[in-house]
Amino acid sequence: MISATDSLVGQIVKKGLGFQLTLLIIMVILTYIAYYLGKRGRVWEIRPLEGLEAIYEGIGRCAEMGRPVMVIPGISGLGSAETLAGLSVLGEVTKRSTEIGVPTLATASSTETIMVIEAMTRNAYTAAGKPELYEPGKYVRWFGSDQFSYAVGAAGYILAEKPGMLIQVGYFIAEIPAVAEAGARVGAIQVGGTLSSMDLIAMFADYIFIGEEIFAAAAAITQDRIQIATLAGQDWIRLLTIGILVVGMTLMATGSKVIVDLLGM
Amino acid sequence: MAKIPELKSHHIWAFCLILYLIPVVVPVGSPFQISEITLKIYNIIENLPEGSIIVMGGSGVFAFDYEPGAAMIASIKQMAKNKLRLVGIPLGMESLQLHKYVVDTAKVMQADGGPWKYGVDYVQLPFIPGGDAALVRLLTSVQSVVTVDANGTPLENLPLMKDFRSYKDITLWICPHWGYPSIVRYVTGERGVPSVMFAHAYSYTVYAPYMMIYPDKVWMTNGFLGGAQYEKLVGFKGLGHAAVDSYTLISVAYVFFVVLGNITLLTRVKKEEEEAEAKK
Amino acid sequence: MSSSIIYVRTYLTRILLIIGCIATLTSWYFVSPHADIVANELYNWNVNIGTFSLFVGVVTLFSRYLKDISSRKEQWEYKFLGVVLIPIWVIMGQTAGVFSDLYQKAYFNTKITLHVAILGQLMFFMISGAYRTYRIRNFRTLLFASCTLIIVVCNASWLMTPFPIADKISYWLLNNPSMAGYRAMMITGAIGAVVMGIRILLGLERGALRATEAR
Repeated sequence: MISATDSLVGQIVKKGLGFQLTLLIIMVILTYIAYYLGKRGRVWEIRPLEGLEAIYEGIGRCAEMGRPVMVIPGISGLGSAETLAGLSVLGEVTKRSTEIGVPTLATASSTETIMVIEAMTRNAYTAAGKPELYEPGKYVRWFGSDQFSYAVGAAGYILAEKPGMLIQVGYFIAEIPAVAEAGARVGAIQVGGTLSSMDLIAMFADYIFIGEEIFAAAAAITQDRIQIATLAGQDWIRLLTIGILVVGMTLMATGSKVIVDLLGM
Repeated sequence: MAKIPELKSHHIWAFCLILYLIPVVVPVGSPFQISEITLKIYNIIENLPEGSIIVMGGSGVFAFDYEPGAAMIASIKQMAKNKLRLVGIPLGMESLQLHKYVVDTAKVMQADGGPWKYGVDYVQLPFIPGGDAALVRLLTSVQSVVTVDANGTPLENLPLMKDFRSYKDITLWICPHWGYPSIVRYVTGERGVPSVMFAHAYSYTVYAPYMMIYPDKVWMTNGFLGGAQYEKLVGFKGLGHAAVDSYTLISVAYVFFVVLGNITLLTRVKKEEEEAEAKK
Repeated sequence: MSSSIIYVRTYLTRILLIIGCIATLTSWYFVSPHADIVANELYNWNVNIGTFSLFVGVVTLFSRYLKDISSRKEQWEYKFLGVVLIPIWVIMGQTAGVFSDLYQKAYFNTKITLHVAILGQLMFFMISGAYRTYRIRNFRTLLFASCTLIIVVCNASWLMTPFPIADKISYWLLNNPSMAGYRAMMITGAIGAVVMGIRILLGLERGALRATEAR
């Protein structure tokens, strides 16, 4: 029997998306609470991320060896959250390495990402007081939008430039072996993180960001207190998700489909 | 114990290349079993009523989709044998080329000596840009999104398209492409049309959850092996069979090199321990 | 460019971003014809801008390549090949059609062959990577290596004939522990992506450009 409330909700919210919308609102509220607490002065400590420590050390190692750092933010465009995380890492790495005179090389397959990386590199050199060292196309190369034309081009770029550290954080799929093998051949330290092809990254990278650690790294690398505060919100959401999973599993074991029906609401 | 030297990458590659080329020269004919899921998919298509409309569609990259192409070619032969009808809906730029490739390779058209007539048994729609939004609009009303086929022929001149107006006319959706989530979400999940994915070996794990979520509506084969299994059921040897031999030998090489790597590590550690003992 | 124009441009972009976000979310979740109209309009503009940027990209490519070819810069031969091939493909596609046998043959014998060759070489990289990576030094690496070997072995046909149970073990492994781990990463990744989106909307995410702005 359809109640008055059901029919009103059904007229406003699309069928099957009610729970999803509720969860999204809760996620926004939890993140905002964490942000607000961070702004009020609450300091959140995060555990050290192995990959991030490796990046800081690697930049120093590249300065000692006189080799560049190479950062690849993935093969997707600016609409992908993983690419944005990769770009945040790239931005911070470019800033730090430019300050100590280590060139940061980059490549990507999406043209819009390339444009952003060029702007970031230009800004980094300007901010470091070395605008004369920047040249368009010198640090950022584009080898084509196709996944494998990019991969082959990036592999050749790595073999030619011999970076001391190769950071691959972003959206990657099957082209990882082509690029990472080139990194292994030149003896680069490899740091990787992605959501979709963790198995391939784990096979080739020396240090990895597992799953959502790429988003945590994007926040943590800035060392911004408020950005790190939002990671607390992320943790609370994860706890909530685990709670729903446990409750759902328990109810399903007893034969109840309450959570399943709720998810389909 | 003598130390085993670390192999350089190009030594490994040379060995693998030789191993890969052996079945090209001398077909090994490695045996394989038919898995339950492949048999299930075969039976589902086998039991469809004559004249049912099956859609082959999705978004992907041709080179990747070569792997599911093996099973797709076999299933097209099966469809032609059982007088089923096929519509190709390419949602990715290279999907159109893959659809043409699989239909041409299956040799089911009358020009190739097969039973199918274009426009009556098979229609190929052109590439439809717009991603998910275009897919949703197409499912609601095909003719609102496309008005001509891939050759430029108006759809109203094609007899098959008179029977295919919306998702309600689709009996089964087969996706031989990487972009399966959109199909599961909009075709199977929201509209209840059963779907089959001829998955790549790599994408099988990624998309296996969909089989759990929709156990009676979603089924998947597994890579070239799944393709070879399907070919065996249909009764011919094609791309899948050709790949299985190399697949077999390379998987043996994979295990061999992992074991060799660990033996190399062991001998190196033992050697270092012996040298340390000798120094004491 | 004066700083006031930059500020105006930035705020206009931000407003557009927020309108786009609200319209998309509203049209996704709510029964709202008005939000659908706005979201559709934004989507169409997105497609138009994407197509236009492709056109701009081709023009930029040609102008850069022609300049490099005329001054014989490094690798000018490849650029010359590109400049010649692009119009040939466009003309072929327009005249013969992308569904024609000619186009299919040309596409298959060039792009697809190259692409499949590159994909095929991944096998070599993965085996040499496996040789280097799967060294058992502790329990974690033992687990890593043994899981990989079990999947590779059970997915290969040579084991399935003498041991038909390998097929069932393989599917169990793929459908249970492997899938569960992947699902866990997808769920947490989705949470991370949503929180990142919220950070961007709140203006917190330093993002691509602000990360390197001068202090």
